[in-house]
Amino acid sequence: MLNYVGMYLVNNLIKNNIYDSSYNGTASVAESATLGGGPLDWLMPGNDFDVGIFFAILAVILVLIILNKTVFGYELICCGRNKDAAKYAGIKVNRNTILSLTIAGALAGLGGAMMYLSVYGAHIYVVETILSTGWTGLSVALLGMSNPIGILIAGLFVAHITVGGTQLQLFTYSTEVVDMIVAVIVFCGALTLPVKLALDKIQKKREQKKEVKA
Amino acid sequence: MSTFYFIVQQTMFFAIPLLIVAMGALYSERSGVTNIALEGIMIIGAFTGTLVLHIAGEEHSNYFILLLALLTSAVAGALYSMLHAFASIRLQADQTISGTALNMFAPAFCVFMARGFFGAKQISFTDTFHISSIPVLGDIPVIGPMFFQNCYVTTFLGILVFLVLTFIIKKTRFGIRLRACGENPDAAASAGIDVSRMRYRGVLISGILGGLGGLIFIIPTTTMFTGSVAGYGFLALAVLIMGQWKPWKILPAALFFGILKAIASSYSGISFLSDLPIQAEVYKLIPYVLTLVVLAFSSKKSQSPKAVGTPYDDGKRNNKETGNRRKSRIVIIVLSAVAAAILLFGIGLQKIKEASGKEVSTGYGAEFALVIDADGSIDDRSFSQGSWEGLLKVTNETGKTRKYYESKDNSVGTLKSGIRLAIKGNAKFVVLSGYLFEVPLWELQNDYPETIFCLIDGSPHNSDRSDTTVASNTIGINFAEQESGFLAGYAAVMDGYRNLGFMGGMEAGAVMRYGYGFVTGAEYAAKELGLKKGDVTIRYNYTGSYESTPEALTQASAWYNGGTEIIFACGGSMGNSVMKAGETAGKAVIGVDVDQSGESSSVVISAMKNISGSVELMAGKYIEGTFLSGQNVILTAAEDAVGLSMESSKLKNFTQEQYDEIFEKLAKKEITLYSDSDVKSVNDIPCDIVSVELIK
Repeated sequence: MLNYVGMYLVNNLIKNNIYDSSYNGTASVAESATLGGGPLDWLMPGNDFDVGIFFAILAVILVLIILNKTVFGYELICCGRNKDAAKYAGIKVNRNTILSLTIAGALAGLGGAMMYLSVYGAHIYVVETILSTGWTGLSVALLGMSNPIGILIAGLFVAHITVGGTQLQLFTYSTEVVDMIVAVIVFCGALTLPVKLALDKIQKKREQKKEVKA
Repeated sequence: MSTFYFIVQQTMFFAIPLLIVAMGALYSERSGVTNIALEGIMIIGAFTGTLVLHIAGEEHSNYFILLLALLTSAVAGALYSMLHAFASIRLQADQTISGTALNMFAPAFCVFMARGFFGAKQISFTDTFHISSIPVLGDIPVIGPMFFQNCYVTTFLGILVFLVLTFIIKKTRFGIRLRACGENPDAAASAGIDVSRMRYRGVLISGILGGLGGLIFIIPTTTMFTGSVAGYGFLALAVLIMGQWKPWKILPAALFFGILKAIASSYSGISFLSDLPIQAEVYKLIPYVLTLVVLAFSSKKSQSPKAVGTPYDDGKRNNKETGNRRKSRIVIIVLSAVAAAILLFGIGLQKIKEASGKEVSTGYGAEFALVIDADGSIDDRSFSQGSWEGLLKVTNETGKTRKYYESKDNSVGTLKSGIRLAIKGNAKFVVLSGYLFEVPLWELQNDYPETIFCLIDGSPHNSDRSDTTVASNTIGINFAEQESGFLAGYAAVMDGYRNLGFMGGMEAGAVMRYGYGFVTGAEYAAKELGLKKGDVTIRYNYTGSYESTPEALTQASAWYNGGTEIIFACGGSMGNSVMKAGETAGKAVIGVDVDQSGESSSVVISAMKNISGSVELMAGKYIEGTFLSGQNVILTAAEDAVGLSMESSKLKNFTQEQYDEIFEKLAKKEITLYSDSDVKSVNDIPCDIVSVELIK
């Protein structure tokens, strides 16, 4: 629901404030305000890199620390694993839920800023469709198995095959293939049960063998 | 009163698909399975349904075909939903993951298949199912015009389906058992119910309804399917939540969403609404904000099924997130990545089919390339199609290779990489279609001096327009659209139309020029005819999108309903929505860019510019080695580059002689016209007779 509220609100704000008719969206970001390449320009001149990648890595490290090294992170994980148990252990479940959503919102906001302030010169268009990037982000989280490091790898992977997918046009492939591949992988990622059962069986057999030896 | 009837009729177009799909969601969730895959299911349903209608074609389009299409949609939706059911019931997968994946897969798959079948991204279909008035029932006062005029048989089908489903879930044994599985599956199982089977049925029904809903959504709202149902699957979930998972609350919720959607998109044609100081977004926001409020107040005693989203497992033995579950997920992901890649690349090798003369060269890259922005496609009936046809002609004659490259979005960086991609593919002659390439081209033109760039509808400049250098390997081709628009406006008024409309896409150069010319032409004709002040009116609006949407359809319908006789639809696929509205209202449409008379019976004439001809000319000159580069050119009536489609004209009074006469005057530059650089807004164009109502 908030997807739509956000979309219409932003559309209205754009129309009344920073509208550029030739894009039917936000006016171009001034060059001085875009994320520069920083040290990357010097390292790899002539590329469209910007410092967004550092922010992304920073976010991963931050989330890793919060989740693994703080009391709050531990509480969060507890709430996710078993709400009731967490409650009985004296953890304020509601407070943690709200805080985790706040953090999620902050990171999503950061991501949005990276997208539109990048040297890529993107514009927010006044259209009535919800940006698919958010859903892609969800797929990335699922692919990364909700683990910060996994998400970093999954994010790079999805970005890589998306960009690579447009290059496929050189060989007369259509670009939709990429979306289909990501979708199939995400879908199959959900189908863990048969493999898990198989692994369980193998493990059991090994344990039995050990027992026999002992 | 007629405005009221109109809003009710439009509400139905929005509300019925929402109602059906929300009922589908209800069945799935009541059985205990969250189904956020409904958006994808709707897309699949709409795709297969329109495919049937397309194959049947115009001459065979009858109610039997419609039934067949509906059945196909239902079956396709059901099959697709089974993927979700299998994952979430049998394999106890995370239901959000599977749903997200299916939503992502569906649009890509549909566009991919459409390309395979037709070499095009869009599937057009003829709709002969519109009923202007049902005999007897349509004549009943008040109720007749509300429900039985300007309607579709699918509307009644939707209501019937709703009633039957409500009965089933509330009163039958099956319905009660289904609900039990969603509330307390363990209790249901101990009462002897096969929970998994019930859940399969729940998802199956939601798949059937999702598929049906997709087609029912597409038929009244557009003339072609483009791989999208505009987020109505998600909207249906919102309706479900607002309706608190209860059929009799879902009905008003769907109607409420529908009516506000109808008002938000038609208010520009209804005078008392457009006078209110409320912006369109407010109407659109209300249903969502209200749903949130409802949720906030009812969350303590929420009616949502208790066990929704949790996989049911009779032994609870596989539910723990053990190390093996993690391990197995990694195994699966890696395996499926490899498998998917091999499989889809295999399918992908099937070259984009040689359909309707749109074939591209096989092999790596091509000498002649067309780069398209994210809004265009080679079958968009607009400048991208025109450019591609021009390239086709030249390359067919000379046997050179050609290829087109599409872009994922319209950011400068992405468009630049599109150009680089073409050059990487050894392109020597690159056509860029659309003004969005102005900045990307300006940034790249000096980097590739060996390549010839031909920009259609624009001239290169930097992002703040302070530098407009055109490199020696570049040419910017612009058209005097104001002349073409002028002819359209002139012809419309000369033909006898008095209440005109102009619906532009985005407020961009070419669209503005068409619009300004249209107004000037109407004024010129009105003067010639000696009409009085206020005799001719023009409603004028930029819709802000080149997409074919239900909103555009409703806006055009509202204008027609409010007295507009003819609309100049100036914005790519958006025009298809206007044509649809014209067909249902029995009113006229003026097409744009190319001769669009073949698209719809409502198109009486088209304001054209000769894109394909100019691309052909430029490419031919390049082959000859006499390419005129390093400049921007404006092609006008004097070069015969703009004009009306008089060969296919359906205008009754406007004759070829009249056309030739006014065209001659234009070509000799005897008429003052305004370009987007001359005036800031359409209101600045001096008009004595025509009154222009600019709608923001």
